[in-house]
Amino acid sequence: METIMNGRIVRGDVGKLVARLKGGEPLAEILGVDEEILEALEGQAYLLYLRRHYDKADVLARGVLALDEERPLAHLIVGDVALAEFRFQEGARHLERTHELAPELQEVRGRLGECLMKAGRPGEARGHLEAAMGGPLSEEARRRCAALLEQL
Amino acid sequence: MTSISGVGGGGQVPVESEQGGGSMLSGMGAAVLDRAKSAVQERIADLQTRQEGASGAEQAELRGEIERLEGALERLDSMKVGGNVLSQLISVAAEVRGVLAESYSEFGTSVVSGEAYAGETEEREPLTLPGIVGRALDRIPSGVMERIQSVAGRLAPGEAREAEGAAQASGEVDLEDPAQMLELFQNDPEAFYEALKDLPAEDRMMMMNLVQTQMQQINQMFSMMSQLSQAVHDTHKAIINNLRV
Repeated sequence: METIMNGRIVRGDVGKLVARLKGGEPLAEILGVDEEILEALEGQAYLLYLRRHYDKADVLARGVLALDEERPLAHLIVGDVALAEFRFQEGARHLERTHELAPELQEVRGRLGECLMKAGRPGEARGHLEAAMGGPLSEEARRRCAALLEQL
Repeated sequence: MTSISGVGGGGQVPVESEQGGGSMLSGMGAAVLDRAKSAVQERIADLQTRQEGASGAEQAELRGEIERLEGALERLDSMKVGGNVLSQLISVAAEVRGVLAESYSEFGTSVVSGEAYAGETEEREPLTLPGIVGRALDRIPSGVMERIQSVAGRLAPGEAREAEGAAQASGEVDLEDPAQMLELFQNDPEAFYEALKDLPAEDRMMMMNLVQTQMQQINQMFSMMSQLSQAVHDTHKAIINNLRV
């Protein structure tokens, strides 16, 4: 396809890009952003999150997810910031995705349970909160899960 | 402090000037604003659902709460984002969180009582994942940082790339390169719509989302990385200068 737009000669085919995206290829691959770069960006986002720079962490994590939707840590950051900011539906979506992508991260289930409860899904919330209580948790997190379970 | 909860609070809140400021700040300001609006909208939707099944007195109470939140939303809607007064916007967003915390702890939701929201105004602890913390704390190797900067330069919108004398300077864009294609779309909406017009509706929507949301998020991320890296550089420089004294 060759089209003239605003005096520019444009070559190529948008359809090819669409086909790659529809085929499930992450944007990172299409744009040539490799795993090492993604990991570094995700790590920086987590570091900012740990230092409580939540707005900056959220911007980095969303960028990472735009490049590759299957990054559990980036979902965790976006989800937990959403939970803190009362966007429970969005938070639940991201924290559920974290749990799907990295079920070994037991600590996430407490936050997921809390978010589901606040998003109006008490049945699912109970399951996650109970599972979190059965796993490794800090004292503070355990106390929080127990308090939330009492509310259900 | 700007009052966010006042109903019909009047004109535009000068959160940020239209001039000056980097794209990171305006981008981040827009993100903070969108997130605050989205939280208020979610709360209003929940209260509206409850209002439908409520008795007369409760219905009036919920109506009042909805109006209070609609006032907050109105004020958020009137804010302008564009310059470098991000801290003011962040403080207004924090105030909105206070309004929401009050609303949730007083009225609860359709399934959870207000008690579940006690302590919501306190700052939350981040979730520490022992297996991952160590990895995240590793410094980014300089080679990787350089490659991040190179990708950021390649994907940056045209204005930022002008100095590079890239392909656009000659008026040609090779659409075999997705990065160039996406850049063209970001900077030339007319060409974007022209290129999309023959696509099926579903594909058109996907491309619109890609360019309007995903590429913006990616550029905001790279812009922030570049600012963070500059801040680290400046700190190191200051330390060295102090050592020399």
